[in-house]
Amino acid sequence: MRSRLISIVLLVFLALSLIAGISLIFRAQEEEISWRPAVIAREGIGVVRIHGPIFIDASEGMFKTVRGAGYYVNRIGELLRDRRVKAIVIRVDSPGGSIGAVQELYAAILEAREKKPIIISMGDIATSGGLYISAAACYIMANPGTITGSIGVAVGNINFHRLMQEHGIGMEVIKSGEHKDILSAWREMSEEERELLQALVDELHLQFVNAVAAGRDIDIDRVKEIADGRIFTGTEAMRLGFVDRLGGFNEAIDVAMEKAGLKGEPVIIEKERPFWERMFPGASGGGGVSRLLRQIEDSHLPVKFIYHFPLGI
Amino acid sequence: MSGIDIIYGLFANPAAVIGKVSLDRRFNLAFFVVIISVISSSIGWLLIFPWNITPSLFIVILIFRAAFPLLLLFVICGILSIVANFYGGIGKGSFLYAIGCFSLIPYWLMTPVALLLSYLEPGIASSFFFLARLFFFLWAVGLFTIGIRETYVFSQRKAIATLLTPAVVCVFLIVVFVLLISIVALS
Repeated sequence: MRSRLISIVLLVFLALSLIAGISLIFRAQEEEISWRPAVIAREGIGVVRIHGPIFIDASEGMFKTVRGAGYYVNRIGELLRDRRVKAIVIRVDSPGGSIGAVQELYAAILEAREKKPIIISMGDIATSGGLYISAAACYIMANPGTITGSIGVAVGNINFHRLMQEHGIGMEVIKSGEHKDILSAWREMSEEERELLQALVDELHLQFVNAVAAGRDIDIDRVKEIADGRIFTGTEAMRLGFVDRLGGFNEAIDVAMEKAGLKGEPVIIEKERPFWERMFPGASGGGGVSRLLRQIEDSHLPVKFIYHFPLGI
Repeated sequence: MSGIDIIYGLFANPAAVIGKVSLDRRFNLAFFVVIISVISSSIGWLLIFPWNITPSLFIVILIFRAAFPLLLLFVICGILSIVANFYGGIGKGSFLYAIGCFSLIPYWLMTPVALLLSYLEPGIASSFFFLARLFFFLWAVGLFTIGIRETYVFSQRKAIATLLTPAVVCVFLIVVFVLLISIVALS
């Protein structure tokens, strides 16, 4: 009788262990967090690295992972949900990107900073869209020689009109409206179209200026003064109020620790890179300017707008 | 003997229980022991070495992991039965097969152990987890050896000899094979 009772207790204990184990495994996976008490006990700083041009979609092949705004937005969300993460450092090393992608990332960072301190650490370059997303953070750090700025919008296209005329080649286009083939490579741009595009560029530029002014809490006229596309160094950016402090990634971690109220050796919480990325270090990050432009080409838009420096189109 | 008594006995008094089980194969209970061992072992592994896995993939892995020891035991028990008969034992391979399944019962404790180890630092936890696996393996081998002894009704020494003989023969054959390959390559 006693042995039977012990057996039942043992079996119940085992069943509970199995249920607890399986629920921990799948819950941890859903929330992208570690459930281990020893790991949970270690609070730290979440790190997201934004490298290369920023565009909307991410793709993951067998040997190459290309990360888009969606990936970064999700990663920031995961770090916000992770109970261990007390502050987030976003390492920005980007020349900018497509407008939609940059604005999505800006919105995500702006929302995130209401929940946890977000610190930007600018690397070599954080121009145009790179500066746009940085402006959403609580605190921005840059190296003295970081290239930043380039507040502006660019649109352009190659035009073969004269070349075609010289060779007697023409392009017949049937269109539903006058401006349907705006920025066509095969004909000259009309004055009306130029005005239309300029108005569009001005509107997007104003959105950029407003975003930087709102994110940095700077007077909009002050931003407009230098929002002519010029680039500047980290030191100059600090003087202009776009950067809070000069320093590298480690200093940014220290600031994050301070803002999070953490002491001691910093614990970095960063998503482990996939196996293939570790095997082939070049097989990750942004897709490069060519990919960005290809994606914009593939978007079937007749007009190509980017927050990107250098222009490259 | 009821199933609960057998399970308790395998932990508390293995020699006596295995002696009784060796007379009655109880395949249903034996397969149940294997399935729970595989589930517990897999969950324990995933707790210590987190891996992104979907529930459906987890079930597929469980099926394969359950099939593997069942098939492997089938082959091992067949070989050991021949060896045991060679050493003068009287018993059937199918009875040993059931005992082999029962001997996996220590792996039931893998999940509770993994849950306890999770309180340690990940690196230390994984080291202790490997030690625990080794301990459970040796425990299972011990139970299996008792099973051989009880099934074929001979001494413990012969049971150990039965277990080791195929391994020794395998090593011997590999050595002979390597030597032959070397001789052919050099000549």
